[in-house]
Amino acid sequence: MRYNRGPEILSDVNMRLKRGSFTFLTGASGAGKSTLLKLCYLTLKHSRGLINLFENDASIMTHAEQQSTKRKIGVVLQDFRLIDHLNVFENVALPLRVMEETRSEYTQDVVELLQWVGLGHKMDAMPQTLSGGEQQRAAIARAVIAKPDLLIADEPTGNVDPVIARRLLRLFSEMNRMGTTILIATHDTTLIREIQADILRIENGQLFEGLTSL
Amino acid sequence: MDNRADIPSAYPLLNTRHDNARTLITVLAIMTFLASLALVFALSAQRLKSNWQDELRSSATIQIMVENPDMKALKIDTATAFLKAEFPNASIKTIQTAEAKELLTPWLGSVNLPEDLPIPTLMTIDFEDQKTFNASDLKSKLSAEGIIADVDDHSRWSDQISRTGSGLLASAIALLVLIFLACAAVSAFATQAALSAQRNVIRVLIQVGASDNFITKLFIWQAGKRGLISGFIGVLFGTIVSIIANLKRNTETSLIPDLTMNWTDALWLICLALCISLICAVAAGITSLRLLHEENRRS
Repeated sequence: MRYNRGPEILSDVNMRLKRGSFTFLTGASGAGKSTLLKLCYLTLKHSRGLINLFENDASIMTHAEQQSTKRKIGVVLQDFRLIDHLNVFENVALPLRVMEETRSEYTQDVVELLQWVGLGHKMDAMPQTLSGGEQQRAAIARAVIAKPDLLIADEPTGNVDPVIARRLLRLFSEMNRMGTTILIATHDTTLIREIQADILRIENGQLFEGLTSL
Repeated sequence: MDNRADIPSAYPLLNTRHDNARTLITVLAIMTFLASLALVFALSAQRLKSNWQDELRSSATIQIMVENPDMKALKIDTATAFLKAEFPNASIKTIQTAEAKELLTPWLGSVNLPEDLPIPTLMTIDFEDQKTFNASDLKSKLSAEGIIADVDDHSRWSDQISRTGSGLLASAIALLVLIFLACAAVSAFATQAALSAQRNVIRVLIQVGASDNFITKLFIWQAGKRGLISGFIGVLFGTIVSIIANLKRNTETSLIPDLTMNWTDALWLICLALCISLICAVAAGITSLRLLHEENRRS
């Protein structure tokens, strides 16, 4: 994978996520974690190689197939990407609105999830009034609300205190127990050691197993 | 715990604060106002044309040629008797000399006309329904009765009025079409600007799996709603102006139709507002789909 004519960011990467697995992706800043995640959630197109998502070759997917695949993937990004003019409730409910669920169908789920991530009292708040940690929790809630088959998170606990981080990790574990495949990019080794999970490490654009060099 | 009472109300997914909605609504309302005037004008022209034609078609004018003035009364009596027998349901009227002089006033002025001015002897026939006679046949029949007459069945005027009326109607329709096209262009431009201004929202929607159709529906709904608001504002002002024009209109016959309003016109005006809304929605939908497809091709 390379950006335009720049150097290869990722090369000879061979990663396979088993259905229902929980995987941490780690590596130093700039190692290519975010790039690999973007390839996985179809925001970037690979320059060579093969990406298979849910048994479909990403390079030959039609636009409609890509959109349908994206609906199976929940994404938490470092910059949160909450919509400024929507309150927390609406931001979290967004994937369900996109799936054309009615308000009465999703209200209870959204309320419960917001309470779980500690934002039950901020449903009506606008994103710009939230702290970084609260925005992150809202972004996580939005990523998991539609119970995706695959959850991809880029540094999901980077802006929250250890108590909330542990709570979020429990949410991810719970989702994983219910069948969601989880892929989390982080360099927080404490978090990685909290639960039993596969660990992948990116170094110099290549992928290795385990935490060895950290 | 039931928090339903605290659930915030649903917000529109597209941000409506920063996309010059008021300007857009104002422009569309002005265009709808012009369209409503064009529509009322078209309907008035159609009504006027129809009324004029009905009047002309249900009457005829006969000019009796009298060489000897002493025979004038006899000829008129003979013609009246013949016409009454020929058209028992029609009203036959002889235009008196004073009346005929009045008819000349618009052309010759209101000063006293000379006594020896050769005023034609005119008779009018008013039919209950549209006339069915043939002018040249009637002329021949009158001739057989010893009356030399010129029969004018008004078809010449009726055709001219029909052409003028159709011309006015076509002009008004052309104006409406131009305004509709302008509305579509404005809506397409606004959608293009909104897609650009709301790039971040669109990016998030795509990230959570929104299809192009879903995003397009948002723009269709927004444009349709704005079109409807503008449509009704424009139609309201158009109606007010038409009613004022109706109250102040000149009751004399004029070549160009005044803006007159019937209650049935209100239905047409409601349709116009709906039409503007539909045009805006369709233009927004086509633009949104086209731009999203282009974006997909590029990425």
